[in-house]
Amino acid sequence: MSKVHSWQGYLIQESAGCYSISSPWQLNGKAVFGYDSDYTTMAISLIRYLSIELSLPQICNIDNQIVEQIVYAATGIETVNEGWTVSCNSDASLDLYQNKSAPKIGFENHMKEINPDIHHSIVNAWIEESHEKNISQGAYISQQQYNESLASRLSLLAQRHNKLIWPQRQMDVTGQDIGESKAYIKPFGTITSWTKLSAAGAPSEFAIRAPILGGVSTVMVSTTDGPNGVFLLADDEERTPEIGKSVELVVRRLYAQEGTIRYGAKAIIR
Amino acid sequence: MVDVGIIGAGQTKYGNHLLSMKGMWAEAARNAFNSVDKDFQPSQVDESYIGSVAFGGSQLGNTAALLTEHSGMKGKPVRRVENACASSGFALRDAWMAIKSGQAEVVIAGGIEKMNDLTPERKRFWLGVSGDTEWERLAGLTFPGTYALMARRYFHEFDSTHDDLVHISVKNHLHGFDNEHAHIRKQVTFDKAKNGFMVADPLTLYDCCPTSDGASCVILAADHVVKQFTDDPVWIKASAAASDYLALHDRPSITQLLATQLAGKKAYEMAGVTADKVDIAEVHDCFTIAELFATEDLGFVERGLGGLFARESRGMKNSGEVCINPSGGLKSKGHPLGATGTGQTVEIFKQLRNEVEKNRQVRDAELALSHNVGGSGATCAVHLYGRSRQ
Repeated sequence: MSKVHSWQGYLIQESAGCYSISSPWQLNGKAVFGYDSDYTTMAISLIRYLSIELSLPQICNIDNQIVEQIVYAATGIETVNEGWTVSCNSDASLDLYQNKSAPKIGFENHMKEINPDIHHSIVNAWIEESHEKNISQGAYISQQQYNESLASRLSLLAQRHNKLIWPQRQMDVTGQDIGESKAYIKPFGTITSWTKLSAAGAPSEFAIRAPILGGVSTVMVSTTDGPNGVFLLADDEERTPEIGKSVELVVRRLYAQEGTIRYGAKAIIR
Repeated sequence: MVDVGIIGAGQTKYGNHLLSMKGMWAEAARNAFNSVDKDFQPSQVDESYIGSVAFGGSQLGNTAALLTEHSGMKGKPVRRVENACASSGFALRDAWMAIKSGQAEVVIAGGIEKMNDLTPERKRFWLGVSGDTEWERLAGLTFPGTYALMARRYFHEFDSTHDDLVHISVKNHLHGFDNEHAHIRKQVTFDKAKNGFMVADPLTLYDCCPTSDGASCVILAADHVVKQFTDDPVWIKASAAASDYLALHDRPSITQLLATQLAGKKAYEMAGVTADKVDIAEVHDCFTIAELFATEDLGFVERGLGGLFARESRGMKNSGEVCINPSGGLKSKGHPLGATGTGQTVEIFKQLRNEVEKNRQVRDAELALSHNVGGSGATCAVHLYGRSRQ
C-alpha cells in the first residue's frame, strides 16, 4: 500500500490500481465531510490528482451521489463505455478504479477529530439551506446565469486576448469583441488581501451557516497567470490568511439555492 | 452657457423613520420649498430627477411619479435615477444638465431611501445588489467585505494602520454630534472606536455607516430666473462624473478609486480651481477607508498620505485646511442610499449660506465639494459649489 498524500484538503492513497480519496475529518472512527465538501468535490479533486499523476482518466461510471454536471464542468472528462469507475463509500470517501476487486483502503491513522457540535450543526444547516423552499433572499444568481459562468467558476476557463482574461468577458476595455479564444488559468496564486466577515455582515446566502462558523473568510488572489479573483477560503477554520501566502484554488460547495447545491472555486492556503 | 444656481434645499432627519416613503419625501420637499427665500410654487418645477435604489418594502417602479404627484408636481416629467449609493449625485447631475441644455429652468433633484422596514435577510439582499453579484457576492462579500479588502491592502502598501481610520470615525462623530439631521448624534472616543465589534476584519462597527431612512431635495434654477426666488443662491460651479469596473478583481489597484479621480479632475478643470481652494468637502465615507481614499483621490493630500492626513486631523472643522464632512458624513449623519448625494448638497447649501447650527458652521467657506460614490467605486459624481457665480 502506498503512502497517504494530502491533496487539496483531502487525503489520497493508491493501492493496486485503486485510488481513494477521503475527508481528513472523522467522528466516532468514521470519515465525515468537512464543512464545504461532499462526494462531488472529492471526485473532482481525485480526478484532478490522477490527471496530473497519470493522465485524464476515462470514466465509464460515476456514482449517482455525485453531481455529474459539476464534475464534467470542473474536469473536462467525458464518460466512455470502458474506463474507470467512481464509487462512493459509506463514509466520506470514494474510490476510483478499473478493477471491481480493488482492495479497500484505510486512512484511519491520518485523520483528525472534527468538533461534533459544529459538524452536526453544519450538516443540518446544509439540509435546511438545500431545501427547495429555501429561496435565497441574497444577491440572486439565476440558474441560467450560474450555468453560463460554470466553466469559469469550476475549471477556471479564461480567454486569451493579448493577455489572459478571467472571469470571461464579452468585450475588452476598447470595445473589441474578445471572442472564443479559450485558455485556462492555473489554480495557484498569492493572497493580495483578505477579510473575515462577521455572521451579521455576510450575504444572506450564507445566513444559515455563517453564525455556526463565526463568519466567512474571503481572500483576494493574484493568480500566477495574472488575473485576480475573490474567493471564499476553504477550510477556513484551520488556517489564518495573510497577504503573500500561497493558495491553491479548489472546488467546494459555495451555497445552496432552490434545492440545488452551487459549487465554485475556493482558495485553500498551501 | 446658462449657469445653474441652487435656490432651495431640504431634507428629513436621517435615521429610523416611522414615516413611509411618501411621508419622508413630502417632508424633504416641504423643507426645500420653504427654504426658498421668495415665493415658490412646486408647479413652477419643469422636471424632476429622484435618486433611489428602491430598497424598502413599498414602491419599486415609477417611484418618482408617486413621490412628485404627492408633492404638487403632478403632470411634470419625472424619473427615478439609480446608480446605487450615488443615485442622487447623478440625479443632481442630470438636473444640472437639463438646465444647462436649455430645456428646463427650474428642476428638482432629490433622493430617497427607506431601509429599515425590512427583515434582516431582506435588508442584506438589498445591501448586496449593487456590488458585483456574480463573483463578489458568491465569494461571501457584501460592501463591508469589499471595503475591508481595500483597507487591508492599503495598510500593506502604505504607511497606515487601522488607527488612521479610527481618527476619521472620531472626527465624523464629532462633526455630526450637533447636526439635528444626523442619524447617530453620539461622540465616540478613540478607544471605543478602535475596539468596536468586528464587522469585516479590519473594519469595526465604528468604520461602517448606519443603514438609514431619509429623503433629500434640492431645487435648481437657471441663472436668468434665479432672482425670482432668491438673492442668495449657491452656484453649481462644476458637475462631473465617471465610472469604473464594477468588480474589484478587474481593477489594477484596489487602494484608490479611479472614478473619483476622473470625476474630481474634470470638476476642478470645469470650475477652474484646484483642490487646495476647497473649504468644505462632503465626501462619501460609507466606510472610513472610503474617506481616506477620497482625501487622496480628490487631491487634498498626496497618494499614500491619506493616513497621515487623518492622523493629523487635517479634515477637522475650522482647524484644518479643508473641512471634511462637516455634516458628520455618512458615518454619523447616516446613509439612506438614494438620498445621500443630494443630502450632501443640502448640507453644502446651508453651510455656504451660514444656515447650519451655530456649533457646526464652517467659517468663511466660499468653495465646497460633494463626492458621491456608487457601490465600491463603480460610479462617482463630484460637484463644486460656490458663493460667487464666477
